[in-house]
Amino acid sequence: MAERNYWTRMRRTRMSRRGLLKASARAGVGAAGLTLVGCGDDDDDDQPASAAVQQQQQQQQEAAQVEQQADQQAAQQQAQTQTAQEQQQQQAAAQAQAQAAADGPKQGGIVRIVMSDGGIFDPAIVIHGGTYAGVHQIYDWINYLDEGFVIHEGMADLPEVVDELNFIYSIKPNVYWHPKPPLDGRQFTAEDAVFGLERFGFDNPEFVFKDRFALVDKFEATDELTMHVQAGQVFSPILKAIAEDNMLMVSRDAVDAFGDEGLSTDFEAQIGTGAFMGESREPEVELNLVRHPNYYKEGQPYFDGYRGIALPDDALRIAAFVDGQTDFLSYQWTGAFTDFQAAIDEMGEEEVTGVPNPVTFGMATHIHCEVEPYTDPRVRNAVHLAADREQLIALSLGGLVIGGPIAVAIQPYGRTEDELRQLPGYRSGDLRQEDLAEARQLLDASGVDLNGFPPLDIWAPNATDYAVVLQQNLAEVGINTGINELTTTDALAARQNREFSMIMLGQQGASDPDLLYNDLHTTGGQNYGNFSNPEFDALVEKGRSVFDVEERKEIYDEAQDRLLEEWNPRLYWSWSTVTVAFRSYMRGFRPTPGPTASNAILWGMWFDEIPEGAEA
Amino acid sequence: MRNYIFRRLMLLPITVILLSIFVFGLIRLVPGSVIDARLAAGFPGTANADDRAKLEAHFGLDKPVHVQYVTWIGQVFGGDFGTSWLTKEDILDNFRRRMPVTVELLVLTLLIYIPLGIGTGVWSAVRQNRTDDYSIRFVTILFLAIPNFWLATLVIVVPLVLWGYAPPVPYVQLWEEPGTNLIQMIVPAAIAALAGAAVLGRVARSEMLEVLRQDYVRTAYAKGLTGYVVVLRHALRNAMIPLITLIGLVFANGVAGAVIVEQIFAIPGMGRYLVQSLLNNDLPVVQVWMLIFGAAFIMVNLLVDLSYGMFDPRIRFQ
Repeated sequence: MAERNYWTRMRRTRMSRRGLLKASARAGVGAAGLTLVGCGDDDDDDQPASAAVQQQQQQQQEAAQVEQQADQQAAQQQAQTQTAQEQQQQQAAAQAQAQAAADGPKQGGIVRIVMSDGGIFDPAIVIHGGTYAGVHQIYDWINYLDEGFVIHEGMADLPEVVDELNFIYSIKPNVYWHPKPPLDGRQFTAEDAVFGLERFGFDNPEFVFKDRFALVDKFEATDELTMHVQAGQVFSPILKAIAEDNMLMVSRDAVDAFGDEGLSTDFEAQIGTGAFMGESREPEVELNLVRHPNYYKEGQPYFDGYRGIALPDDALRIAAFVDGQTDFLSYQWTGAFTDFQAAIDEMGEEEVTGVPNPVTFGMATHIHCEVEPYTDPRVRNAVHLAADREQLIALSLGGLVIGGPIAVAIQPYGRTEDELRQLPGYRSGDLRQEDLAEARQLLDASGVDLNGFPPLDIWAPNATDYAVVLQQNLAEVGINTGINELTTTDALAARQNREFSMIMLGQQGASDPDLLYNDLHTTGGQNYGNFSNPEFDALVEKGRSVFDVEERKEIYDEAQDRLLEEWNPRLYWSWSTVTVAFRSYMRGFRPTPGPTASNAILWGMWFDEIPEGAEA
Repeated sequence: MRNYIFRRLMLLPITVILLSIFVFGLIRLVPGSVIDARLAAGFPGTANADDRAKLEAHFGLDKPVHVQYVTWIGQVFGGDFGTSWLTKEDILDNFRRRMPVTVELLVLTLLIYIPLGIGTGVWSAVRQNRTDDYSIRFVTILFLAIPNFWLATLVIVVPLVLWGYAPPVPYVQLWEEPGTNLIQMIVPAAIAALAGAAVLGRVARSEMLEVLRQDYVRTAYAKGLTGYVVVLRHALRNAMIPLITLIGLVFANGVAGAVIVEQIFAIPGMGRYLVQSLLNNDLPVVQVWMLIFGAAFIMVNLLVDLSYGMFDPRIRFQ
């Protein structure tokens, strides 16, 4: 149980109108930058996959494991990760859903959602999460990740697992492209799926998922509706990789007709199989979509249309939502969280429901393991022990939860807040004093010059407050370090080029514990701090070759334990909790964790009463 | 005068060329690059030297800087502004779409700025050391001190908290829904104008105080002219030269203000375009943007210089 102190009290204090006023004014300072860094929002659909999974279970070992993982995840999440407030909010969501189930879905209305318009539509090019929110309505997935990162059937059934290297996807016979030339509403085929997946690996310098399927030998259409995926070596996250939220299917016909450039920027070229079809777009103003009449989910989507409204500033986003000009709002992990929460509190539960939506991105502090003094693991461990996670998290006012190497949303692998609070470096009160004493001993033993630490590079202004706290924490063990504020671009560049000693920045998550491979394996693409340890490498190599959930959990438990106890190549302290808010007249919402928080899936939602201004 | 205008116009291309070199070089001195941003944007991010080289070639950054400059300036003078690295949209198309929005904002800003600035300055001077003079001076100092981004946020939040009111969104064009458009634009224009109007008001007050003490003003009063005529026809006209210079600067101030208020109020104009491009190191857009507005600023300054003769016949252009 965490002690009550200034930070915890502050976190739980409900904001007054005056507080909202002050906080919103503060938000205005950093809001513009945030909109271009942040992403969109998450939600998900209608029916759970359990029935379909059970059907496949008899023949599909992998699918069974996935479902088992889902059950564990659900149980653990409910039992361990929810604060009282979260439980209350989820109960409200559950009640809303129960009410919705009783009333039944209703057709009609145009859902109005705040978005950011990054101007790029091609799913193979990640530029801007805000644009993705619109793209996710137009395109669709072969399979997709549902709550708890459970693989859910999409345009194809769950795959038949032939063996550890071969997977067969059966495309549903009622999946159609939008009725627009050159596709003209034809059936989505296995050839389309093969092209859609292979295209991510095409040799285009702007395609950023080129190595996503590096371990796949081939995608092959064996008949019109059957796709065979053959891996070159055992790679247990392969099915999740295919189902991740970036893996939206575009068509060869559209690429041939409009070219890669057209698919990237021409709104007319956006022809998918998704729940909504493109109607009109005014850049940086609005995006209008209409219902796909032949959508493969029968009777869905329930909304007649989608209107994305581009509002870059958080204050205006809140205002438009409170004023009833938008129906749906997500808010996340930096800066504006307090303002959003205050606005929701002001509106009251009758007007709006806020639902926490765990995701797998957050803030971390990358340590360069080849730069003095961090070459010495004792120094890294001292930094780990000195950091006060409770203080750091309290600054986010609910936008972040305490985190370890694997995001808590990725169950059963991610450590919960309560589990972490038992560990050195995460502890409070007297136990924290013990950790600080140990940190001092480690620093003494290392012989490091405590006044010679290089400055802490930070992503300003988003990480500034956190950096000040960390600076004070380090001072508690005698480390004197400055703070070097960097713009978003400079901070990203410094990290990418490995030109830092310690840098506080966001960290991207994933849907699988294999994220540790990318993060910290000697050859990992996101191993920004050049950490290299043969024992760790062996662990994560083994982790990606094992399908059994229990066995994988043991591997990743060991990896996390040793990371936090011995190696500490990153200062882990947080993962995000995105909160999704929607008006009380909206039904059918289900929270869905995701790696980017941009996949607002709306096909299973509907208006109980169509609000003013949302008429078709 | 004709010769003067001709000479100034002849200097314009040279100034623009120098400006273009300055802009092109300055932008390249800014830390960070679009290549780094692109490579960092993707995950898992296993970018290597080959990926970097391909991206540099893709954006034309693999050529020497002077070649890049000559290519770029040649295209600009040929009417090809290039395409955005971020959105790949044609920059000229974007300018065509956005420029009217910003021009409308600037015009509204000017319509608020000039009467408010000169009006308060004149009133304050005429009512020197009275309550309304002190009040105006207090308010002008206040508006000088308040950052417009904070004021803009406050203008959104206060009506929301008090009355649950928010400005209508999204933005609509003037010719589509004039009423809604004006509701959307008038507040941002006022915010962009306020700080400038405060400066103008204070300068106008001091200039007017100086003029009002002149003998010819006393003479005008002695001749029996009304205060209204003396102040507006005799005093204000003689105080206008520094005010005109200041009003010329409103163009630069207005553009700077537009950059902020367009972002906060979701107005799809040139200012928002610049912010988006700057944040993403979209060099082609930033270069052309700065060149266009730099050239426009030079033209505005020329017009200001020419207008001096209208207010003071003693000024001759040689």
